[in-house]
Amino acid sequence: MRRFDPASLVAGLAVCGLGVLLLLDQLDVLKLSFGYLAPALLATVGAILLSAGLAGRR
Amino acid sequence: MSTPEHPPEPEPTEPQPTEPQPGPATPPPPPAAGPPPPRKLTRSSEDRMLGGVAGGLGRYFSVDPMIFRISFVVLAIAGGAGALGYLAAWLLVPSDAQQGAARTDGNRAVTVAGGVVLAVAALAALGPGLVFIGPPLLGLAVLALIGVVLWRAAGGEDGDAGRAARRIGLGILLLVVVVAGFLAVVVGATVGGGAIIAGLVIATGVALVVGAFLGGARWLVIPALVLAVPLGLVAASGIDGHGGIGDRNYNPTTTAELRVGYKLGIGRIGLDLRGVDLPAGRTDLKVDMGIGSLQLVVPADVCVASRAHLGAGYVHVLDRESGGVDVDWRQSPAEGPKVKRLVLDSKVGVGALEVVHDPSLFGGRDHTRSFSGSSFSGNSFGGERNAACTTPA
Repeated sequence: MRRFDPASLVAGLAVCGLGVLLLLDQLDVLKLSFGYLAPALLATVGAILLSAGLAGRR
Repeated sequence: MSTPEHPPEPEPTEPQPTEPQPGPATPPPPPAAGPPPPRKLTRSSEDRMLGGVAGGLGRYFSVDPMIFRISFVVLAIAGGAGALGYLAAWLLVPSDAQQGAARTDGNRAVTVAGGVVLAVAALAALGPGLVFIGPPLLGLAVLALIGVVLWRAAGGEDGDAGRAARRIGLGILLLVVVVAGFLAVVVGATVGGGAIIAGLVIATGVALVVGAFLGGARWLVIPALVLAVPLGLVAASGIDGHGGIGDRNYNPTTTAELRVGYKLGIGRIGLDLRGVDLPAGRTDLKVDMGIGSLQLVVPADVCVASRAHLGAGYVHVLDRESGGVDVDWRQSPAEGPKVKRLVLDSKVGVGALEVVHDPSLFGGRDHTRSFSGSSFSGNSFGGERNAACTTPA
């Protein structure tokens, strides 16, 4: 049986959220600026790192 | 002031006789002396103020760690590099108390790094004044990332030089591939492929979620970020690559030759209006630039009103300038009767917008400008003035 990897799950959800944000910008539903992009990118990378670090400890 | 700790040197001993001596108390011969173990840089668990970085450096280089402490503090005050460097060393350099638990230490480092990045994200989300990811810190972050990749590729302080060299080579190859992918996404996004790339980002995220239940597919994070980061940068800066690439110079001599709008994807637009006798009243000019610079020369008898948005870069119009990221520029000086008024409406993705009377002043930024957060502003540039606004032609 293959092992469940929570870090991949968190990373996938974070990347999906970022992708939706970018798609909404491309469809002119919202206007992305650096003021929104910077925290969104940092939050994505931070969530990935945090989940990878915590998952690796177990 | 503390001093570095050194293991005491062994006292010189008398040569031992080689012939076996009779008697029951003869000690066993000492093991054959091999090459000394390689010195390893570790954080000190004893001589520490915070993470033991300076203590470890002092021990490694056999100097007083206070020198490193002072250096870190000075560099932290002068631009923040000291704090970033200390944090990076804290995360990357293992503690001497955890030599046997390198994997655990690495996981802890990743966890701490994730927490730090999330904290920075939270601060950045609080408001524009707290967005401190300006170009200098962004550049340092990129360099730190490259350093982390190469460090990991080299296997930390693994003593096998040949293996480390091979892994460094692979790490450099990975960086080259990532940079090439980054540039390809930038080009694709600027020519209208942004929605497709965003769809690929979502698809990669879905693959990560599915992969989580099949044992994990963490490597997909790299292509996901290679797709998402440049697309986000292009989207946030508003770069439009449809106007072409190159260096365009325009020198109209009549108002009929002066277009209402100019557009360029990547490059430089040079527009010299000194040969045009603009009529009294309002003349509109619209310029869109993706990446590059717009350099506009206006006659001294023309009053310039301007409005611009820059994703990242700086704008300088005669005696005023501003810069940073997400720059919204508006300058609407009061005007007298019968004034020749040029109304500039411009959008620049990444680059510079410069309006001068004297073209020799192009690129001569105001060094007395004030810097605040992610932007700066100043108003003492080069002695140029928008004097025509109150002086009828």
